[in-house]
Amino acid sequence: MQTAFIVSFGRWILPIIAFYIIVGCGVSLVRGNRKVGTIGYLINSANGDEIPLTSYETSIGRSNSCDIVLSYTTVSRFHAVIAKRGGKWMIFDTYSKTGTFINGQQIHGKGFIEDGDTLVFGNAVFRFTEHKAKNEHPEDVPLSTSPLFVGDEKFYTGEILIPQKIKKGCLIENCITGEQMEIDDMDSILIGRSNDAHIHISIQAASRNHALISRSDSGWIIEDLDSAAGTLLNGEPVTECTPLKDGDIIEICGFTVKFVENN
Amino acid sequence: MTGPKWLPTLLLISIFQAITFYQVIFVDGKTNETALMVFAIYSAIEWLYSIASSIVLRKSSLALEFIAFFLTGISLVIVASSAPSLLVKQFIAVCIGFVLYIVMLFIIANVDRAEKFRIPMAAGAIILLVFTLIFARAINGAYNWIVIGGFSFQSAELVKVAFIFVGAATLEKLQSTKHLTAYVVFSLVCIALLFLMRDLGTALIFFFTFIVLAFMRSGDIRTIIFLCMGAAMAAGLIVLMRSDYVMNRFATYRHVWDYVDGKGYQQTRVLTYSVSGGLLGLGIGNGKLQNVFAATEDLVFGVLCEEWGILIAFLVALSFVFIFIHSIRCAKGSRSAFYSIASCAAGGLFLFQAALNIFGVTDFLPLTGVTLPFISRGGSSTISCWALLAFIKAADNRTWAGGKK
Repeated sequence: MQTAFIVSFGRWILPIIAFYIIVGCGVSLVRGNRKVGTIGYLINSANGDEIPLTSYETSIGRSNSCDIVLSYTTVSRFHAVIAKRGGKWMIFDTYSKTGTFINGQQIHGKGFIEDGDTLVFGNAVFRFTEHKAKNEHPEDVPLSTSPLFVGDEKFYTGEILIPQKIKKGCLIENCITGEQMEIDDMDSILIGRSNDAHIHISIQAASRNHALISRSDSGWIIEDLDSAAGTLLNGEPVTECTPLKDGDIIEICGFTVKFVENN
Repeated sequence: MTGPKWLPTLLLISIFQAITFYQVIFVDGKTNETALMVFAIYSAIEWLYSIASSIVLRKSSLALEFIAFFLTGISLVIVASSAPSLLVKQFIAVCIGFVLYIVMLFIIANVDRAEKFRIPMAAGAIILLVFTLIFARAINGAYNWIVIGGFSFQSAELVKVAFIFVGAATLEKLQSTKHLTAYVVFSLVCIALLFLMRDLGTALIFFFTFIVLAFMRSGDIRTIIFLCMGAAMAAGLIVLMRSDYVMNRFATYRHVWDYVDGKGYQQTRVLTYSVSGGLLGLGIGNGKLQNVFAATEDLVFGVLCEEWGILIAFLVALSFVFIFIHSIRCAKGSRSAFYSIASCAAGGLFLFQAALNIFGVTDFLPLTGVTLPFISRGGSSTISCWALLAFIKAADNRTWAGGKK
């Protein structure tokens, strides 16, 4: 009698309880994962662009399937992965051709990164930070005390060889080391791997005569000398003679300088 | 803690299970002490785990486990009602599965540690399948049962876990490898061995899971189309080679009523008795389908409809949809591509297997003899279901939220 009552009662009450359980849990499941939010930033040293890292793993490369697409010829299609594992940030070089560098040190396989570290992928330079920068202007990027490229002296010794005659006026400033080159008394400045270049870059990917900054009637202009890797001005490829203005960032294979008009 | 309040939800689950277990514990004035013991221990496990997770470990959502507890509870009651002599065996399988679930969560909590298990797991899976193919005992037409010391198990169910484990990979591994060749070879070997065992249903599940994994790994729809075309050609070749065996599985498809007392016996009974249960069911133990062969295994959805009612059966089916959607949502924000891939594959596997079972017994699809996850009786199946659940749980960020506090 008692069992019959439970059976009869159960037939009616069980679907209601099951509904509350399944729908209650189901709605919770469908609402799903806690959003990751922004857990870090990559700040482009060239233009100050701030790229938020919104996943625990972020792929970097030239391929459109990467999370962060870098349209540089010196960046491999699948160049590197930045990951946060167990509270620590790591960067994995995924067999890139030009390598991945942390504060000038080339990594082999993987390396740990910390807040403020400078990361280089091909000719793209970024500063990694876990916190949103208050002022994203590139001049606020802390200067590395070590040379930009020291991992492989043969290919990456990107120190700038600037004539020592410093005068007031327009100048070119190395974004990484802060070195400055007065250009007021010059008609043109050759940038490249050649020993004759005014700004010498010992980077294998750079052409011997890579780019030329020259004086024109309207002011200083820059042109790419049909280099293999190309020249970027504020992140955009230089395809023709382009006027320079104060604060412009010139990138050549990871080597970054800023054009400054002091007057 | 987010999601459903764990205490009221667990209370509801306990009330549900108390009412259902009551109907199998007290039958005809007698007390089924085995069922009473199983109910008591199972409830204790549910409560201990929930308390430990929500208070000690500070896990933020128990919704996934609650659904698994709910489904497993239904399974135990059905076994206690339809096959009482197998209740203890089934309960032991549930306990093993639950322990494996926790162990799996521990192993994959650290993806670097999990990566170290991939090669041994791949090798173990192939060896196990080859061993099964050589020494297997044919049960219900398939050579997929291994019997060791009176204990029999289906190796393919355990290989499911390894199959997903091997297929999942972290983003840097995916970006370094760039091609699927090694995994395609591993998958083809597994599927081919399953086919040789005549375990067509499981082979189909493996193939579907492989498609999900391949898509998640490559992110390229062209790769998937290429793989599907390759599989279609391979399937065509196999049908030509072994047409008798394959065609036999399709002989009654869409014609079960032409073979009411023959090959369509099970499906026609499922269709008839399911409807007779109505919305609320006839009551636990009052159905007739339990007397049909494989009632608690392949045909368990029919038993559910007949005795528990179509409403509860629908909610059970709905729970697999919820699990699948959850697995996809978890994939978006998980801590690693490893979790994303494994979660989608496991969620897809649950839904696909449930669909194969439900639509198979109701003649919407050919009857492949696969089990209904968590509900069907079967030790190997139950253990693998709990182990697979760990992949989805691991992908949920809320799982690890407690540890950071």
